[in-house]
Amino acid sequence: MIEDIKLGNAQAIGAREEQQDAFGFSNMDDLEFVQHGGAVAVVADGIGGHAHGGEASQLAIREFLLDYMAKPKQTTIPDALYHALKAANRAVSKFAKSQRQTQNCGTTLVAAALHPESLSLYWISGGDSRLYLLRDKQCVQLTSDSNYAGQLVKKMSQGTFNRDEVKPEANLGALTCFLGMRTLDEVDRAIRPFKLQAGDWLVLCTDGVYNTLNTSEMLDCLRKEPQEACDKLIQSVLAKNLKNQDNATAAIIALELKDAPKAEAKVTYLPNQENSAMDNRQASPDEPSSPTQGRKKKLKLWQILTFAAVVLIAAILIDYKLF
Amino acid sequence: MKMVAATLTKPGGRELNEDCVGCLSPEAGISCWAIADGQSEFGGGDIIAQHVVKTMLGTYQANAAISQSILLNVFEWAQRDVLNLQSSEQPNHDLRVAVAMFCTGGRSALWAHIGDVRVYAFRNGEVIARTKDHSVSQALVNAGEITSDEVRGHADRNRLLGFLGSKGKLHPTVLENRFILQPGDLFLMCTNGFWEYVTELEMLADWCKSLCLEDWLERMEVRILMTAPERHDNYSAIALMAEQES
Repeated sequence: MIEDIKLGNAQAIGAREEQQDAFGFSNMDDLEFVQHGGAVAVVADGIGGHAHGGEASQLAIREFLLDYMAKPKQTTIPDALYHALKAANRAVSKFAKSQRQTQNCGTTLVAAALHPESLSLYWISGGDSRLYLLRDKQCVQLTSDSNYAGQLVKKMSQGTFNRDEVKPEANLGALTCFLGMRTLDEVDRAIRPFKLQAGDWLVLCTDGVYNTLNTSEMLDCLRKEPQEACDKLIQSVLAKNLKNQDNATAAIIALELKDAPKAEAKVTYLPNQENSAMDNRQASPDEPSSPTQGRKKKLKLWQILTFAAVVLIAAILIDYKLF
Repeated sequence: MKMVAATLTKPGGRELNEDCVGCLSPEAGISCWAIADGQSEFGGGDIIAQHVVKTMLGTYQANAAISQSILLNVFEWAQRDVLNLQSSEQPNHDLRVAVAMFCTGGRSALWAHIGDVRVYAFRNGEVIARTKDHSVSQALVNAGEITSDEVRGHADRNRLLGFLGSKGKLHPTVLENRFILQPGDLFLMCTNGFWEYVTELEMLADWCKSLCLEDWLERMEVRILMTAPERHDNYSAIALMAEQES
């Protein structure tokens, strides 16, 4: 397992009858692969209301990771992600055909590949499952949803559609790209590396999370350790107790740098902040348990030295009188 | 070094587009771009923004060089022009123009601005430079009262402390030293109607997905349209990229 990376994951069925979300991670113990392929997290959401959604999402995750882990060294990460997405799409389409559900079986998929050595991130997405970057208390959505709303906004930017023309009955969330379609025309993917920093978190989640929690509520959950954060996200979703709560899934890859100084270390060595640093640390046998004790020790040493000086002066004086 | 460019200017949720973008076609190896955001209480913000861009590019063309003093002179001339226009044609009108200029020649680049029109410089996937707005919000950032990320939602972000048309001495900010270009360096000049809805991280993320500069601007425009309120401000941007000349 790569030392610099921590993982988290959690999911809940919500108010649905079955879990149609799925997630997975690449094998991060295979350090040789990680050197060229990085570490990958994948989340999929079997399309609600469609037949075999749960099977579709699980199949997509499996096929995606299998294909990605077979990536040759010379293939670039974005090319390998795209190849894996197409392989997963073929598998889901084939499965749908076998179930005679070609028009009614599919899944979203979002994947993030982090290359620890170059601190590069790449992603790929088909559908509306999302990838967020958490950096310095900012939660930024990196992926764009492939849905009807997105298509309308693109038309607005081209000047061929007006905001007022949106019909009330329009299903703005209807997916325009998902695995199980004959062709994937609206794949959202990074073709250049996104530069990561120490402490960055990558949060992948299904709409069951971000439709229930707003960004600020998500940020409140994304603290401490990645596993705790995932648990907190799902608990917060369930705490809303929504009648139609969708399946909710979250997966996190958190990046820590080996050479990055830990927060405690930073504070400890800052001048003039010894006291506050001590207050936040647990006492160890090698250090005073409180700043006051440290002061006491210094005071004792000072007393001993003064006492020794007095004795020395007295001795000199006595000697002087004697001789 | 060769610069490739793409531009965007839209009225947003307003009827009038008071932003303006312009460029000088490369002459003797020097190129220049300008972007302005005009404001006028009684209309005419569009005309003044267009006038400023035209005047600044024209003045620069007469003495084109990658020089701080020339850029400062261009701003001074534009200021006189705006004040003259204000006193002769619209004495009761409060004309305000925020503007940024960017010029390149050879391997050097230089930029200057006044108001809240911004210039960003990106290299290797990171923001390496950004102009500071002449606004109350930026002053609060400088004083340590708020963070630079908080400017976007801050109530005083549009209260400008410096703009063309202001009374008294003009203090545009010019880059201290020439910027030495590297192939792949990316720049974004944009008005507040643009940067208020697209964070720096989103700019970087959208570039990762883009095939070209036009594609980049389009992706960022989608973010604006997704998040901005219905009557949102005009938004404009100039995207530039340094390329090795073949």
